[in-house]
Amino acid sequence: MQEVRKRCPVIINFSTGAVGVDRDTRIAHIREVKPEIAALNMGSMNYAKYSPKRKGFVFSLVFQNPFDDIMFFLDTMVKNGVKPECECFDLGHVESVIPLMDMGILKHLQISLVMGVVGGMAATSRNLTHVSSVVPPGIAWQVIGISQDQWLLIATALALGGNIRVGLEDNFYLAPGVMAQGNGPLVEKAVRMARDIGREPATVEEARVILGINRQ
Amino acid sequence: MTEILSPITGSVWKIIAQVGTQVNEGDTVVILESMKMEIKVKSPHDGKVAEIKVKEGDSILEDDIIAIVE
Repeated sequence: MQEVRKRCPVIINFSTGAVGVDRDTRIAHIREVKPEIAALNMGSMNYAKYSPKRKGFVFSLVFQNPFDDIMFFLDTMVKNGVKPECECFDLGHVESVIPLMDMGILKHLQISLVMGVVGGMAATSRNLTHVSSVVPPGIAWQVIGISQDQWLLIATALALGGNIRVGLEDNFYLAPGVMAQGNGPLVEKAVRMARDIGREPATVEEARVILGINRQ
Repeated sequence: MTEILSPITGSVWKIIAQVGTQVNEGDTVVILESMKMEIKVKSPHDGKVAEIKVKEGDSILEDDIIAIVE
């Protein structure tokens, strides 16, 4: 993380997702390096990739995130000054933030609507329109589109007023059949799409303010 | 000789089996990263790794050849 900080002033966000790994191990790196943001996966689900060509699953896992674990991860994030990015793969995951907010243990959050994993929400504009409407008022949300359907979701999120995420973690294609050679071209395309409809991307410093991240 | 093909579009995170090493059926040869997950690509049978066709950090397509096991 120090090497990344030396080279680029980005906001650092680490995953805590894993299958078949105990919860202490899943959060150990967050406790140790204290990034600005960490993913908080908001529910259990089947997590799969289906190949129509192979007529079978490429992988099929159960991604376990019971409330006890969610609260354990959240407690660790709060104690270490790390902002939770609530990753929601389905509608119910979004609504699962409500009891945590009601208990007062989830205060400063942002929501990621992750779409396109088999077992969660399909990557459609109609789904994004609905699921973004149940995000509690005043909370920033972004869309994370898995696979090249990402571009359709980016366009929809931009029109709905949401934030967007692109990168090789989620999608490898700039266009059908055209692989991106890195994150840069994906970001350039996303920026172009935002500006084409009159939205201006935030600078890193502006994003810190918008997301309420005070520390460097 | 058996070609091990990538089951998915992704990036090569880690090469586990080096050229010339012996692998058993089900041993992990390469770990890919795709869809926010690490995906283990395993040897379909016992044998020796004759060739690794990818490098760590490469982006690869579904059905690209990852390795050859003899």
